[in-house]
Amino acid sequence: MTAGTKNFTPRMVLATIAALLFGAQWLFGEPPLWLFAAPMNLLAGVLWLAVIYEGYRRRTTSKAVQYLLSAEATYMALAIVAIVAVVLGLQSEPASTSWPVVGALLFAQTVLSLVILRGWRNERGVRWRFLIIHFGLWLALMSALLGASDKQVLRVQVGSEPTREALNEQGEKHFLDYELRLENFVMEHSESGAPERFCATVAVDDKVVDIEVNSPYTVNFGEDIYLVSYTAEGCVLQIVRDPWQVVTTIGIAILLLGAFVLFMKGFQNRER
Amino acid sequence: MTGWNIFPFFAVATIVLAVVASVLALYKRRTAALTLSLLAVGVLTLFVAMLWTSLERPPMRTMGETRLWYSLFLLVAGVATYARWRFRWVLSFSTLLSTVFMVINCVRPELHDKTLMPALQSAWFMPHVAVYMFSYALLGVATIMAIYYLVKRDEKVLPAIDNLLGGGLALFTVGMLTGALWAKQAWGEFWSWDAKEAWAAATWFIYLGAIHLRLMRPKGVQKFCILLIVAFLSLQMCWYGVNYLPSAEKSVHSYNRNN
Repeated sequence: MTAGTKNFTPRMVLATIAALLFGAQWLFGEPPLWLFAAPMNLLAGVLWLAVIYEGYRRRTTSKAVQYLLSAEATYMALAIVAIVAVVLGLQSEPASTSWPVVGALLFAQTVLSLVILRGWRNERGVRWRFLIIHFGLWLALMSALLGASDKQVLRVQVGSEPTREALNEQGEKHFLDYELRLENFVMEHSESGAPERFCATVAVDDKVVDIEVNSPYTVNFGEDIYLVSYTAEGCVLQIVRDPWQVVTTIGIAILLLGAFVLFMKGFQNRER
Repeated sequence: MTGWNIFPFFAVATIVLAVVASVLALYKRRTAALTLSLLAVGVLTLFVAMLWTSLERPPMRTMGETRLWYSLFLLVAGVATYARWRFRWVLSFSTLLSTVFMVINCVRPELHDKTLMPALQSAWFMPHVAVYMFSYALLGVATIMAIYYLVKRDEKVLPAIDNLLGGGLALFTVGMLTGALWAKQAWGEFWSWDAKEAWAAATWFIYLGAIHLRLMRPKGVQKFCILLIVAFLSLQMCWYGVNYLPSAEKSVHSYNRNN
């Protein structure tokens, strides 16, 4: 195989996929994330990883896998994600769940998965520095990708009357399985008049809790209540349901450990 | 009263210790430089502890308190980087920045009572910002050395560039991830592709590209150095450039407007 075809073909495939993704966005709008709510995301995730693992096993014969494991694919994945980030950074309403963005992240995650499978150990044993950094990023990205469909953000206008009625981002009504009632709302100002502290005292069913900015209340596993705003009648609470947040946090913690290792050890001593 | 009124004494003691340490570091008196730097950190920490006790709350609510933490974290980051990477200039840099914040706190006592908006009152705030400032400094020096390499083709600077990039990107990662954890606590989302976050991600991935290029193609030094410059330009966008973008109008990071 000549160098020309080796570089040309995978790029053509990627460009075609990109064109299809932009076409899909133009034709159908946002991808149907709701289709992948649990348990579909788990199923799709397992299937995806199975395909990656099977592909990895066939790396000696499969040209596609060889490409995905090549240095060029790593540069490509990093470049594509960087470009996606720049484009999102220029949009005032970032299209972060559009087909091209999801496609770019899936591609990067596929490359990352294969690279981890190949590189997590060598003949001298486990490559801890490599593994911690790459696996931390992998876990955080995986939970963000698979968890996106399970995430729910609801807003509730809370006043002195108990309420269960919440609105999602599209303005559709949802009913909570607990009642919220505002007991008290405190707004403290400094001498200059700038707001210093907001605190909503809220009854969640019969339990009375304080909710402040930067101090949400965890009502259930993966479900937190945030104070976002106040009105003449009371305040606005935001309920975030994200059952995957624990996984994301673990991924971030591992990546933080990886950053510490990178700081201590640097990256120039090649392990391979 | 063990509050702000005694701060100037602690500030002067800290600055003197840190300046002497910086000079010693320049003359390669490593042990003495490290000892005095740690003493400087100790003196400032003592003041933070006393202020904390006298206020009977964590000192994280006013502009003055924020600047106090900046000066402390900058010193800590400086000592850590010097202890690990032995750059002779690094203590001078951290001392200079830290001194600026301490002097501001001495000459503008009205800041001690200027309250932060509630969104910023978080334990994540100071490490998030201080770590970023320090990573910008390391990556900035790496960029200057990359330009130097492109002009002079001097291979001797490459190990220093590697170290600065490793340390700088590690701190940048810490800044980004503490930001994500804080965002989860404040708004409920780890990442929302707000303009500043998006540019931080772009910058991070370009630096990752540079590291991977360096590891996988040790001979591609020219591309590596060019990539470092591109990454640093992206960093400028992330740092202050986004403020001039229309996409930042709704940014959750625009704290310096409207108030």
